[in-house]
Amino acid sequence: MTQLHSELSDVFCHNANVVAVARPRNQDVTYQALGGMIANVQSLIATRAPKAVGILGTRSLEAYVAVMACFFSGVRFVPLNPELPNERLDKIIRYGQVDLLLHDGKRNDIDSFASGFSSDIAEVAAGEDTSDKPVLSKKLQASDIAYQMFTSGSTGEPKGVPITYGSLSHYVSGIRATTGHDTGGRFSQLFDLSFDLSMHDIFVALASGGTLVPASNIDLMMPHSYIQKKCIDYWFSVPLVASVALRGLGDNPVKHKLKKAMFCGEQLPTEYATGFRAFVEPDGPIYNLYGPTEATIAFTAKHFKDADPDLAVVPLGEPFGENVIGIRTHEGEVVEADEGAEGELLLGGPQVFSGYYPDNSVECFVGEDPRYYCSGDLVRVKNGELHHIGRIDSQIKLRGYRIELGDIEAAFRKAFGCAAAAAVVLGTGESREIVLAYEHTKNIDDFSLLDAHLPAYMRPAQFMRFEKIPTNINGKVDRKTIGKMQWAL
Amino acid sequence: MTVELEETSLCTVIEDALKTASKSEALSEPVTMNSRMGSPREWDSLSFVAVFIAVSQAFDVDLDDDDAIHFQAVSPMYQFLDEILNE
Repeated sequence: MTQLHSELSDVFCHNANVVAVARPRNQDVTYQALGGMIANVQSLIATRAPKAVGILGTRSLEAYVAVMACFFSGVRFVPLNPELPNERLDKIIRYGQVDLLLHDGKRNDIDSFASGFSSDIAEVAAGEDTSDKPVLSKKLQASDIAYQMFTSGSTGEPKGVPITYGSLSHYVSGIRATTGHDTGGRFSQLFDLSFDLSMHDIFVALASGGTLVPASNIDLMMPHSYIQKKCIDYWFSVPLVASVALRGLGDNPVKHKLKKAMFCGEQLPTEYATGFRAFVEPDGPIYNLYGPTEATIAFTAKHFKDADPDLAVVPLGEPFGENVIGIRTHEGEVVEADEGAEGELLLGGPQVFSGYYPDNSVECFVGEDPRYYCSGDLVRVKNGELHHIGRIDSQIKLRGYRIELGDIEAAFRKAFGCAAAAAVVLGTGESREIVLAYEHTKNIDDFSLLDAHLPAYMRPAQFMRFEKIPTNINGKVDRKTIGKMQWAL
Repeated sequence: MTVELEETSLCTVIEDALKTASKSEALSEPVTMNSRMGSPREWDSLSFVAVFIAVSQAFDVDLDDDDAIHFQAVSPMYQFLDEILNE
């Protein structure tokens, strides 16, 4: 049993009548009611004894019930995004060895990828309550896998990132100790379930005895309104949502202010952090968090106070809890993160995963004690803080989504049978777009075949055909030249 | 200056708002009565609020945030505006 299990059990015991999940168009759900639903889903899990549970859901009460039922049952869960093409869902289900699929809402096409092993969470949760609180149903080790996220892979195949109970527990206690132990209050829930930052939303809110406030699709587009009308106290989003909120607010006063705001998922521009101050109480802190999925949600934190005019983006800050960092210099030497050090950021300690599963062949670690995960992020240590410089590979973050450009290229080659394809990112800030150059004997007019292979956020905004894709002197794709072509962006 | 609600004027207001929000001189496709979020591709969740505000100002209608549900496609937006402007 981890510290997180213990804390959550206490919350369910002592907050029976507190609202756990707010639902604007339905009755709010108390911790007692939530506990009953979780216990019912735990009964189903106990009966089926699955290897892994897929949770196909959005920001919903049902999804939270399924997550907590798996957490207390000690069964690995795999969050699944309902908007993914069925082909990709099928792949993730197979790679994740999912043999019980729990879904929120009706899915008419569920038999195409989960025939015979799916259940509607709402129906299961609505059964006669077996208990009014979740119960830890088996003895757990900190090294057991709690959940497995699937991320974009450079080979075109999704990569499974298993996260242990110990890592998750360290994250929740570490981030709460660093940014403040909040008790009660209303927590934003903006992230899709398949985005690992949603695990922060769910576990931090419930461990605090607070109320999760799931955002609707309209809320995502009107975040200024979501904060005020739904009386959000604690905010967590990608930085771009801050800019949308500021655009929506205009010159109007903020009627309800946040007690705290945290950002993660991509670089936080200083102007976003400064502007978003309008939504936060005068003494309320703003934090910039950093961390890859492989190191459990977030790994470092920076308390943003005053904007440094020399910095366009907010630094990454320092590792929290028992997390440790190192730097691999441009010469390949692993050094401590001392002042002036520059190179690839290395992450070690209790939050770092133990390797991709099922594909464990990817070389992503260096050293033994500590064993470091190579993040692929280039950083510089300045004034005792980490500053993000860029990436060392073709992985990008676009509107909060982690995308391997190689994944897009592989999908395109597969869909259209062309010899070569190169995805490139153009533009800056909000107007960044992915474009794709391809090598083919004739123009392709209809790119809708890609829809079956890629989620919407990965689809290129524009395509350009080449008889021969530009290459550099080493024979590698010349992305700089491709980027300088006449794209209509 | 308030604009009179017509199909063409609504499309023009949306198109201008999207150009400003996406910082581009031309959109991937023109805005028509059949347009909706995602088509043109510049009309996304980030530019949504820019369209909402621009339409509110251009036609001088006092919109509530809850009205945003009607602003995901041109045709329902037109019908909604037509109803409240003729109330």
